[in-house]
Amino acid sequence: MRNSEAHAGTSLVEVLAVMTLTGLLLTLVVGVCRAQLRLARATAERAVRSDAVRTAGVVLAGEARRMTRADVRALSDDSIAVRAFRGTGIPCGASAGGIVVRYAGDRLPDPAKDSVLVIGTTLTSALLLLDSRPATASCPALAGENVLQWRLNGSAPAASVILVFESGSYHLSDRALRYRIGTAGRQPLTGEVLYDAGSRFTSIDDQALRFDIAVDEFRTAAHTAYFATRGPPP
Amino acid sequence: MTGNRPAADRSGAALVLALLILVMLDCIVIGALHLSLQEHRIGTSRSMLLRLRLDAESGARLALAHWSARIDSMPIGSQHRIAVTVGRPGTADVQVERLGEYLFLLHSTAAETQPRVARASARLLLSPPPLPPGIDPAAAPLSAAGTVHVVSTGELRLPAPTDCHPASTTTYAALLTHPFAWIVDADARVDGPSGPLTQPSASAAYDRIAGLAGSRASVSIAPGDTTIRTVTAADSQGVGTGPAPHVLIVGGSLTVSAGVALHGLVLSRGPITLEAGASVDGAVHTGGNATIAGTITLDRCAVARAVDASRLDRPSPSGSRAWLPF
Repeated sequence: MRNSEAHAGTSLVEVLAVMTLTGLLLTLVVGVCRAQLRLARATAERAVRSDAVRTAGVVLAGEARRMTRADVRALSDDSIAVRAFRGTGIPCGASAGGIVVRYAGDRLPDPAKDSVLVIGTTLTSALLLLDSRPATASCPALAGENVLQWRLNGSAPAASVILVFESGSYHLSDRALRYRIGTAGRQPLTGEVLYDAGSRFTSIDDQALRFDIAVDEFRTAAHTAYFATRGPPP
Repeated sequence: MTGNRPAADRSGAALVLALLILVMLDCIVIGALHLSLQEHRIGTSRSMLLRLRLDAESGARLALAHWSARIDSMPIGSQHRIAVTVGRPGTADVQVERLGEYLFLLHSTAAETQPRVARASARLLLSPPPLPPGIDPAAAPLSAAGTVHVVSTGELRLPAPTDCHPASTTTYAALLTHPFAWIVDADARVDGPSGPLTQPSASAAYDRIAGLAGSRASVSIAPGDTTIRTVTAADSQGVGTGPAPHVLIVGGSLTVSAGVALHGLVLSRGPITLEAGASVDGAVHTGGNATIAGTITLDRCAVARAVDASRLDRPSPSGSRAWLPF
């Protein structure tokens, strides 16, 4: 009897101790879990922000590398309107009502949105691309080139290079870098994680376009995107 | 026995709980490690691509130094391949394509070594050198497609042998298309005979030189005329010593008045008149007649400096859009 009563009292103390310890342990575990989850979430957010900053820098630098200052049509704090070059054609023959070109680029030309810039020995002129289709005529193409048949609203000299471009604008707005072709909507190129007040196009000269990309009030990366004007060779 | 069982159960629960926490922590650590590795890979790839792009551009620039008569005379539409070493163990494969008479395209590709597959390319649109390879612009003091008349005050001088003028190089005072179009008055000083103007020559390449380097219509140069500097293709301040040599390219006739001293290379499509008291240190080429009452002294160094400073002998990027996007 005495043993049984003593055992009952011990059980209560044991239960209380176990509950206390379990509570402490759970508090500790939950705390650790929440901290780790916060850490994981912060790491993921940082990765997304880094990706957005990197993407914005690479896209704008890559675009600038294809342009000259003359291809920037307008610049404001949050947007830049440009000729965005998408490919290069080299005339290699003539076809009925058009020319045959060897073409290489990001994508095939689209007469609905593309124009061309004809670069000759002495002059440069912009023309409309009226039609583009695979050529039936033969033309010795290099690796990665397509042979196309084009119809333009003007003539292109045989000794020339033809750059295909679309008119587009880049926007640093609504927490992302966005691209807009013609009058279409602004499509985001990055996640919506940028800090609008700190992300802006800052200046432009004959050599480069400069812009800031910010992820918050305190973290801003300044970028310089150089144009395709590299001066004379040494 | 029965009294020990609950204790065994509690012990098992703690173990499971600890294992779960460990698994969760492992996942977080592995995730962070994965992110770090990804960042590292992205950084490495970007730096590799940048290096390849710079290698490709270097290849295009270095290929310009390989300009030769063979490339210069390629038929339009043909291609020629050059392998260029661009530093750290890489080479750039450069393909030269002739698009037109005065338009070439360099396509330079740099690639990682196998088994890696990254590659970058650069395309450079360029003009050939105004002065075609293989032409000696200082073969004689004077060359002319028409008649040469050296009047009594005129002088065509060949310099004494120096580093600039090895004894064996030049023996002719003038090079002529027509051997009998050579009139030398009494008292004129002519240090050598006339010789045949063999092709190719600077005067025969006038159209190309003027087309690529620019020219000016008929010019009459008087003492103190400061516009002379603007008609040259060169501004060779700081090159060599003494008067800065220039290249003067004239599309029509050229008259050099008494008291004017020119240094460098003079090219004229039309007739040249060098009045008494005028002088040229360098070489003169004309596509017409030449009337020489002044002094022409062959100076190969001045011609070389003028050609070098004006880049007449080097290909150059064509226009402001020479680097093509793709």
